[in-house]
Amino acid sequence: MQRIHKILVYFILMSIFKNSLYLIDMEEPWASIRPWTSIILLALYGVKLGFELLYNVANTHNKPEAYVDLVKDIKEAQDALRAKGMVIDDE
Amino acid sequence: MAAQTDKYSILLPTYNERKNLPIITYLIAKTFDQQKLNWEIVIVDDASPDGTQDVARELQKIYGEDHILLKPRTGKLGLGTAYVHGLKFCTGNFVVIMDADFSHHPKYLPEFIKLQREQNLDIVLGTRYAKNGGVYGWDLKRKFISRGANLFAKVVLAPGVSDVTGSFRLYKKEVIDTLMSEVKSKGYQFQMEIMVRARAHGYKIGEVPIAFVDRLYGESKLGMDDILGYVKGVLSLLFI
Repeated sequence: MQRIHKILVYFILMSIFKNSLYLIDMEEPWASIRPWTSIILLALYGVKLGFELLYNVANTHNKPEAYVDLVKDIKEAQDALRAKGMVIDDE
Repeated sequence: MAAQTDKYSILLPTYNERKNLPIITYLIAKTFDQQKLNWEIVIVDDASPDGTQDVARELQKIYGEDHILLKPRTGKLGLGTAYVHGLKFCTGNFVVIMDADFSHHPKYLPEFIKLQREQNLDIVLGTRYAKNGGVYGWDLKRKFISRGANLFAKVVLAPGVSDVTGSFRLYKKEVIDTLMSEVKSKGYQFQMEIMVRARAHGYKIGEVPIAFVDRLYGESKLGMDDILGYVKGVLSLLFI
């Protein structure tokens, strides 16, 4: 199944859920919310994604030691290659 | 295939990598020789004006033409076609794709290989975003953009991997041959399409955390055109 088909299935399921709410007797104000169910669900999903993005950004690890190790490795490589007769530019 | 007969082909597309190529070659050679693994580097150079091919020929004299294969092209023809071109000359049963600008350090390759052997994986990818992976050189804005782009791709495409746009990957040769024959995208979405198609094929994918050093030299620029192009590219992969 293509990904687009799965997304369409999710929208159909959401629509079924929203329409099934009309089968239940509800008092106000909940009854007046029923037409907005899909939008509320999408908005809640958007909020969830927003929090997920903030969490992901906060948990993107900084690796300063990777830079230090890389600079050391580059120096080692430059020295080794010069010893083998290659002309290596310093930068 | 038995571990002793495994051979690893590192595919390095290059354009104006005169300064970086000898160093990345040294690091790759050192890593594989320390692990006593059979290796080769396939350099696909797109007619670099800075003499990258001359440097590659010097490296062939040092490491041998069986280890350094230079397969140049006549012009700047794009990364995807560079991979297709280079794959024709790979003699290994595993192919590594990585960048030559030091953002991907070869020291992680033994972990890629170990994980692949333990779980008989079809693909192993380096992830910046899971386990102990991370980055150096990203400010808060860059983190928001990159993590946001990754989250958008994960929500829309559900590729099942934590780092959708990463390009540090180990493939079984037959796997990447199959995927490259199907991939149509260019640019950012090229790497994403490979992952989406790999999932569709049901390939076993594993992840190794890496530290990504962004742009050791110079600054990257990301404009609105790039962002819109990325969104379009992700949406176009919905139909795979």
